[in-house]
Amino acid sequence: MSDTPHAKPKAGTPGARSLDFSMMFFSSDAVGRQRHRYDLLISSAEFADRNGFAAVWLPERHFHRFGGLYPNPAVLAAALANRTSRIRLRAGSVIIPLHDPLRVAEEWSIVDNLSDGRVDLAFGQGWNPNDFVLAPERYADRLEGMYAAIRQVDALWRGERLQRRNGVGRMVDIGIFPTPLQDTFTPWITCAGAVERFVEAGAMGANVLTALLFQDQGELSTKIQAYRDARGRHGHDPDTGHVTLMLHTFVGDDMGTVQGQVRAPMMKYLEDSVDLWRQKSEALDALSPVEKTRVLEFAFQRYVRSQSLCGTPESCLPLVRQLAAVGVDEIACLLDFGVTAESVMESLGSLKRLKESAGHASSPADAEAVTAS
Amino acid sequence: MIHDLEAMIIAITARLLKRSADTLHPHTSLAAAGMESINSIRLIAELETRLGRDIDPTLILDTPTIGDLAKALAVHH
Repeated sequence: MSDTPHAKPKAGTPGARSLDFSMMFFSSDAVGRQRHRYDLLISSAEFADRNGFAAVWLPERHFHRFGGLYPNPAVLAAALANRTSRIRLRAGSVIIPLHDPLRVAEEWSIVDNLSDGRVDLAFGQGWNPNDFVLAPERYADRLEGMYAAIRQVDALWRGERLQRRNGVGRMVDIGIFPTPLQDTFTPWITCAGAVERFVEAGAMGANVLTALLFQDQGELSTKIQAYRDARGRHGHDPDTGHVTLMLHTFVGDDMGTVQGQVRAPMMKYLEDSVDLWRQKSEALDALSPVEKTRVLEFAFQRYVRSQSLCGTPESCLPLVRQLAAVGVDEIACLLDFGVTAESVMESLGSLKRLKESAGHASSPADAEAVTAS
Repeated sequence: MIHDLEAMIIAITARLLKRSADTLHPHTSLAAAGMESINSIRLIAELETRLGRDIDPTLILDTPTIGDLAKALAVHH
C-alpha cells in the first residue's frame, strides 16, 4: 500500500498511517426505572481518558428502548467533559435535520467550553421516520437539509450571524453564545454505505464516520478511495481526511469465553442485520428453521471473524492491520451492544493491549518482523 | 479431483448468484463475488448433497477463494 496516495505516512509514524482507537456507545437497553444506568458510559470514558484512546462517541437516538440512553449527545458530553481531561468528545452523530442549527451550535459551544475545546461533531441525515415527529416537514429533504444545516452550524461556530424571523415577524441577524473555544471544526459525515455520501464528504473536506453493517471490507476500501479521490479533486489534502470505522468490540484473553459472551447479543443483532436484509427478507423467511439456524450461525462466525473486534488481542490484530491498510484512521469500538456492563469493563484491559499492539506493529521494523514470521 | 470440485463450486455459485460461470474462476473470492450468508449456506448444503457428507460451513470462512475451498474439500475427503 505504501505507493498509493492515501497511504502516505503521517508525521511521526514513518512507514504507516497511525490508527486511533476510540469508544462508541449506541444501543444500551433503557427500559424501566433503574439506577446507575450511565455508569458504563462514564467509567469507560474515564478509562479511555487515562489509557490513550482518542475519543468517546455519543449517538443521538430517539423513542426506542434500544439506544434509549442517548437521545441527546450534548447533554451526555457535558457530563463527560467534567470527568475527563484529554479525550475528544464526539457527537456521532447529530441528526441535524431534527434540530434548529442555532440550538445545535449553542449546545455544542457550551460543551466545547466545558471541555476546554475537545468537541468534534459528526452529522447524520437520519433515517427513522418516527424520529422526525420532531420535524416532520424536514423528512423528505433531509439529505439536502443536512448539508445546508451543517453550513449554518459552521458559520455560527466561526462567529457569523444568520438572518432569521423573530417573534414579531421582523428579520434579524442572530449569532450564538457562548463563543466556542475552538475557532473552527471539521465535521464528520455519517456514511452508512452509499458511495455518494463518501464522495460528498470528500468534496466538502469533511471526515467520514462509517460501519461495516451495510458494506463489507472490500466495498469499504473502494469507497475510502473514492472519498480520498474526491478530496483531491476539490482542493483538500487526500491524506488528512479522517475515516472513522465503527466495529462491534469485545476483546478478552480467551476466544471461547469471548464467543460465549458475544453470541446471544450478536445473534439477536444479526437477525435484524443487513447481511440478511440484502438477500431480501423473503429469502430468510423461506428457509426451514434448521436452515435459518445454520445461516445465523454462519453469519455470526463470519461477523465475529471478519467484521468485528470480538476475540483476543492476537486474533483481532490482523483485521486491525487490514483496515489500516485500506485507509481507516480510527476504529470506534462499539461497546454496549448487549454484553453485560461488568464484562465490558473487565474487557477494557484487553482492548487496551490490542490498541497498543496495533500501534506497535505500525512501525516499519515491526511490520517486517511480522511479515517474516 | 480438485478440478471437478472447482467446477462443481463454480456451477453452484453461478446459479445462486444468477451470473455466468465464465465470470467465476478458481482464484475468485466467494465473498467478493457476492456470496452472503444465505447463499454460502445454500452452497454448503448442495455440496453436502452431492458429496454425500456433512461439511462445516465455517470452512468457507477459512478458504477465501473457490480454489481454496476445493482444496480443503479434497483434503477432508
